[in-house]
Amino acid sequence: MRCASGTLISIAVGGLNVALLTALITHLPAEAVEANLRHLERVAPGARVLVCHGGRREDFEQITTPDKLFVEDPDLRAPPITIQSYNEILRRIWEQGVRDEPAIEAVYLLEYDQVVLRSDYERIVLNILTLTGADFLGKNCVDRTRTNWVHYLRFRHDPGLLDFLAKISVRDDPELMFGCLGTGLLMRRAVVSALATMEHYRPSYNELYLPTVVHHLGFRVDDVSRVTDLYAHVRWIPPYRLEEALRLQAAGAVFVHPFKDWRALPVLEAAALASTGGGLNDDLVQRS
Amino acid sequence: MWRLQRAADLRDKRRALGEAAPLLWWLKQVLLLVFGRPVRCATCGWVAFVCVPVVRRGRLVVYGICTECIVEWDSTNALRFRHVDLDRCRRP
Repeated sequence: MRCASGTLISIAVGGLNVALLTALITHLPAEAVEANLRHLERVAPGARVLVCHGGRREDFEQITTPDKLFVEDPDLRAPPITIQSYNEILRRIWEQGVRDEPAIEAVYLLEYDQVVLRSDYERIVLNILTLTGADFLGKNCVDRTRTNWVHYLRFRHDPGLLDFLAKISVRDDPELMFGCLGTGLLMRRAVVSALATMEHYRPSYNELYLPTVVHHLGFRVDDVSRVTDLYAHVRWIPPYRLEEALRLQAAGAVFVHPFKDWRALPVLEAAALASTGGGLNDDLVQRS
Repeated sequence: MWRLQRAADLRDKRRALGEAAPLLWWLKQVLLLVFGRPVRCATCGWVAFVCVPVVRRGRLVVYGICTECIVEWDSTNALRFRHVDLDRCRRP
């Protein structure tokens, strides 16, 4: 949150002062990005948001917020589910949004179609970081080695990737590969710093590459779904319709993904402002 | 009973593919419902997928797997499967 002078102040979470930077990853036209930003501002006023735009330069120039960066990396623009990489985004986020702000302790990567439905999402997300003690969290972020996960099958015999992992790994098994959904990634400052300042292997796919590299660097990788139902409505496909999103919002859901209808965001904003919201820890359904 | 569960799952999958789900996809689903057998997750007991296992060109091909699974030997001649994703694994 920012105080009246605009200085970043921390959110008190469990007795610790922790600040979160939300990185909104988008490629959409300026009008859609402004709608996303307006939505976040109204639903979660005071949230620190950095727009990471990987679309057209002319759209980026039209975005009015000063908290934005343009990503030129061609790997980000690769066709879906191929070799999309967040390495350059993370480097820029570190340089522009985190390195010189010591108060920021964690970064939350939010894709444009992961919609926030509650004002207390930052507190919720940071509580999970505290609860798990993990350094990197994602949805279904688990060991995918020797599974039939399509992205593991694509890269498991990649000699370049295996060599790279063998060089950087501090683990006993350098061939382990993790995977998670590519949105809703929560990582501590130290993870962002490490990813931003290292040489990366390419080509890679972010859903496999990021949690795998983070694990092999020695950080603790964990699955949000292991401890809460927070991401119960965060899925790959199909997209949520507005009526579904409204129903889930009324039931207390924090996020829905994917939600593509950015023109309908004002309806969700109005519903969020009208709702009372709920306390966080009591909302989280702890898994056994 | 597993066929009812499977039919409910297919509704979501059809939405995922869009309204114009290919005819061949539908044909495959019908064949699986008729000839396939359910494989249950070893952790939660729910049907993980419905399949027709076939040995083809020296490999065991499990037609019908549609979810990420971990597979391990349960005995000297039986495999068991578990969901990878915890939110699919309907543990009690």
